[in-house]
Amino acid sequence: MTNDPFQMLRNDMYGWAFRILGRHHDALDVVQDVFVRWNRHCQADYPASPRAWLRRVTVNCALDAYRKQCRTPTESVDDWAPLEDQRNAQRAPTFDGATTERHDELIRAMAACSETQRFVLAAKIFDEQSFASIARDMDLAPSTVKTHYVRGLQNLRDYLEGQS
Amino acid sequence: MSHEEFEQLLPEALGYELDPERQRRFEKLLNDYPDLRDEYDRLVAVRSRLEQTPSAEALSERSERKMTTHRGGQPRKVTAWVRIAASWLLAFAGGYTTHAMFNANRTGEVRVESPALVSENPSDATSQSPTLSPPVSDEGQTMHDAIREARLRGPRRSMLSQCMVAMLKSAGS
Repeated sequence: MTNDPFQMLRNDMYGWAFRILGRHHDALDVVQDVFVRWNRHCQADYPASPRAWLRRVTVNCALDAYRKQCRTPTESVDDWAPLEDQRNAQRAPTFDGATTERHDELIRAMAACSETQRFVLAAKIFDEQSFASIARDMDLAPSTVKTHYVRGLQNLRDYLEGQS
Repeated sequence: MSHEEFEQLLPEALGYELDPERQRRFEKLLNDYPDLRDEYDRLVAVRSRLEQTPSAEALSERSERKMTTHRGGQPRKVTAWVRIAASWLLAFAGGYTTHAMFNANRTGEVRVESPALVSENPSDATSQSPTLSPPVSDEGQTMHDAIREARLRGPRRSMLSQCMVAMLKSAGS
């Protein structure tokens, strides 16, 4: 039985990355990338909340991986034009064409949120943490976390409604 | 006041953290103010989209279902006795093949036990020895020919050993 947080949370990290990328192999790549960062980071500064650290880095790495698959990786998220044929070839079997488009929109919207909002959204929705727990992880007041949560959802809604 | 209370309760409502009393108050607000209901419904729709992103569990369940479907609905279990039987069978086949090759190289003959190659004429059958001269293989005999020949020579003999013998003959001729 290992006490290494990375080993204990490996399946969770895979799940978070998979929710963003929707592809098995890409999610595994992200977990591997996080593993490298985790080992490097732990030597310098062990995080107070390993789960929160791993979740934040996993989500950011998954969004980075998502960006790399797009034709124009910089400037604005609006310019991201996914290479549909290439990506669909690797999609999870749960995706059909319409689902893929809706998922891509959502991930672009999520990438457009601030990092704090993304962190709270991922912790609340992907990891089903309570506001109190997230507040502890982030060293913030619960009311601030709640505000970030609602603002994050509002930003997503504005982005998605602007697209349609 | 109602909008302030809505702002207060909204994060917990969206985060499934309202206790029953506050939940009742929140629902009353939604019923009383359609604009608040609309705001709440739109945010719930966004939250639902995030919740519905494909989870790894769904993928693994689907894969598992696919695998069990391919196995006729029953997961395949290899029991210990099957493994032992398979290892004995492999050992026997290997030993028999080696033995057949050794005999073929030493005598240059192939004993055929199949009645298919024994002449149907009873007089011939009595006069003939059960030991037949080996078949003359053409040069450049293919594996396919060897297998066909081995089948003709008798199903009771190990197919593998017959093929090996036939191929050795072919190589030697």
